[in-house]
Amino acid sequence: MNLSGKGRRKQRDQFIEGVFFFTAITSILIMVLIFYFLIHESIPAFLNVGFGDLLFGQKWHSAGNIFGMRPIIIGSMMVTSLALLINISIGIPLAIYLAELAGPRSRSALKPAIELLAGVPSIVYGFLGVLILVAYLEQGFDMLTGRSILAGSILLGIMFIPAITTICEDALRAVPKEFKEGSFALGATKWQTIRYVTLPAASSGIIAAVVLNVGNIIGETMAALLVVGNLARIPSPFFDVFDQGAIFTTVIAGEMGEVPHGSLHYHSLFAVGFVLLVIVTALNISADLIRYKIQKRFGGY
Amino acid sequence: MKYGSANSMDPPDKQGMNVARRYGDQFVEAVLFFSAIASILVMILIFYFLTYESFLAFSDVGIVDMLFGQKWHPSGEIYGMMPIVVGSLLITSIALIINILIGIPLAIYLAELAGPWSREILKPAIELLAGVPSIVYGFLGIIILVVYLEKSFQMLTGRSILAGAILLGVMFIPALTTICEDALRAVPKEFKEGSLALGATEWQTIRYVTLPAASSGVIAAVILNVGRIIGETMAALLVVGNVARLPLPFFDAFDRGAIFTSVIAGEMGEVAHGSLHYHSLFAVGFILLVIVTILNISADLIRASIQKKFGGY
Repeated sequence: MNLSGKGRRKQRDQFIEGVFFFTAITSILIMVLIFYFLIHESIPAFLNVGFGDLLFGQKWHSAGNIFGMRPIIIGSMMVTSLALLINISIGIPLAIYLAELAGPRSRSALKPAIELLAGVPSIVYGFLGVLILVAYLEQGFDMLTGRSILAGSILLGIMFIPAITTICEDALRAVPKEFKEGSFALGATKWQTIRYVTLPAASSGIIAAVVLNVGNIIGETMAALLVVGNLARIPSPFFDVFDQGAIFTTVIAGEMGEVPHGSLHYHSLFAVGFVLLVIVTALNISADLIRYKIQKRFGGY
Repeated sequence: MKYGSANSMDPPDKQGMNVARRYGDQFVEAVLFFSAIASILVMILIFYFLTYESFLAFSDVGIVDMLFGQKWHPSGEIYGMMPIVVGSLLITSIALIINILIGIPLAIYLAELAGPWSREILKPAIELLAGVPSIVYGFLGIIILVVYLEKSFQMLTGRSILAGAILLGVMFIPALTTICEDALRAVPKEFKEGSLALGATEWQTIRYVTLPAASSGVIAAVILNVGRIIGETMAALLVVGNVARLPLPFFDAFDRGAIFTSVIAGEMGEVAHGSLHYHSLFAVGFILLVIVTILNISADLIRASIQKKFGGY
C-alpha cells in the first residue's frame, strides 16, 4: 500500500466529512432562521399591543385592530383537551390490544388498517369532516352550523389515533417478557399483569407519546380550519363546545390571505405563530424530559 | 396463596373468585377489542365515502378521461387530472431530491461521525424542526421564499412549483433524518469494527458496510417521505400557486402548479354539494389516498424483502 494513496484517501475522507458537516450546519441554520423570522416579525406586535394585552386580551378583532389572544388560547385548549380525550380513550386501549391481546389473525388485519389510517392526508380528513361530521352535528344537535369546537375535537382526536397507537405499542412491546411471565407465575390474570406490570413499565413511553400528540393536535391546520368554524371569540359559557371557535393554526391560515404586509395585523399573526411554536417546542422538550426522568426512576421502556 | 393455583381442582369458593375475576378480564378484553373495531371502522368509513362519492365523477367523465385528461377547468366542467398529476410528480421529485440531499447525509453525520458535542446541538435542533407546524412553514414560505424567488428570478409571481418543492423538501428533512439515523444506528457495531480492522477508512466503512446494511430502513424512509410530501396541504397550498394547468414545457418549475391536496383545499370552498365538480374533488382525494396507501404498503414490502435478502436493519 503506497503512502500517497493513503494520503489521498484520508483527504477524500476529510472532504466527505466536510460535506456531511455542511448538511448539519444547514439544518441548524434553517432552525435558527425560522425562530429568527418569527421573533423578528412578531416583536412589533408585542411592543405595540403590549405583552400582557396581546397574550391575555379578551378580544381578537382584526377589523378594529384589537389583538388579544385569549379567545384563541381558550379555543385551542378546549379543542386540544377534548381531542386528546378521544385520542387517548381509543388510541391507548387499541395499543394495549395490539401489543398484548391480539392473536396473529386480528393483528394482521389491524396493523395494516392503522398504517393506512396514519397515511391518510389531512385534507382528506378535513373534506370528510366537513361533509359527514359537520352535517351530522348540524342535524343531530339542531345547531345553526355544525362547524364547532366539538367537530374540530372529534376530527383531530380521530386523526391522530394511529400516531399515539404506534408509539404506545412500541413502548408496550419493549417491556421484557420476563416481567410478564413473572407476574403470570404469581397467578395474576392477563388484565392484572397489564394493569400492574406492563403499563407501569411502559409508562414513560406512553406519557411521552401523549405529550407529543398534544403537539400534533395543536399544530394541525388543514382539518381544523375546515371544521372548527374559525371564529376567534370566547364561547359563553367558555366551555360551550357547540360554539364556533378558533385555534392558533386556523387564525393564521384563515387571516393571512387578507393581511397587508407590515401592518399590525400582519405582525400579530406572526405573534400567534410564535406563541404556537413556543408551545409545541415546550411540549417536545418536556416529552423528552418526562421520558428521561421516568426511565431514570423506574427503568421504564 | 391469595392469587395462586385456582383451577378446577380447587374448592368451590376459590373457583367463584376466579370466575368473577375472569369476567372482569373478559369485560376489559371486550372494551379493548371494541377500540380495535372502531379503528377498522374509521378506515372502512373513509374508504367507503371516498369511493362512493367519487364513483359518480368516474362514471360521468370516464376513468381514462378523468385520470389523463389534459385540462382541469371546473367552470367549463372539464375535469382531467393530468395537470395535477404532472404538478404533483414535478413537485414531489424536486422536493425529494432536496430532502434526500440534506436529510440522508445529515443522518449519516449524526449516526456515524458527529462527536458528543455536535450531537448535543444537532439532535434538539432537528427535533424542534420536526415539531414546527406546517402553517408556520407555509407562512414563512410566502414571506421569505416566494418573495426571494420573485426578485431573484424576475418572476411574475414567486408562487411556483419550485417554491413548493423547496418548502416541502426542507419541511420533511427531520422526518427522513430521524428514521435513517435509527436505521444506521441499528447496524451492529461488529460490522463496522470488522471493516475498520481490515484497514478501511471511516468513509469506506460507511459506504460499503453501514449504508448497505441499513439500506432497507433508508429506502423505506424515503418512500414514506414521498407519501408525506404528496399529502401535505397547508404549506403547499400557500406557495405553489394552485393553478391546475400543464406547465409549458412540462418541466418548467418556475410556472405555477397544483398538486392533489392544493386542488381539493383551494376549490372545496366554492363547490356546490352534489355537483360534478364536487364529485371530481372526491375523485382527486380518492386518487391521492390510493397513491399514499400504495406508497405505505410498498415501503413495508421493500423493507421486508430487503431484510429477507440481506438481513438488513
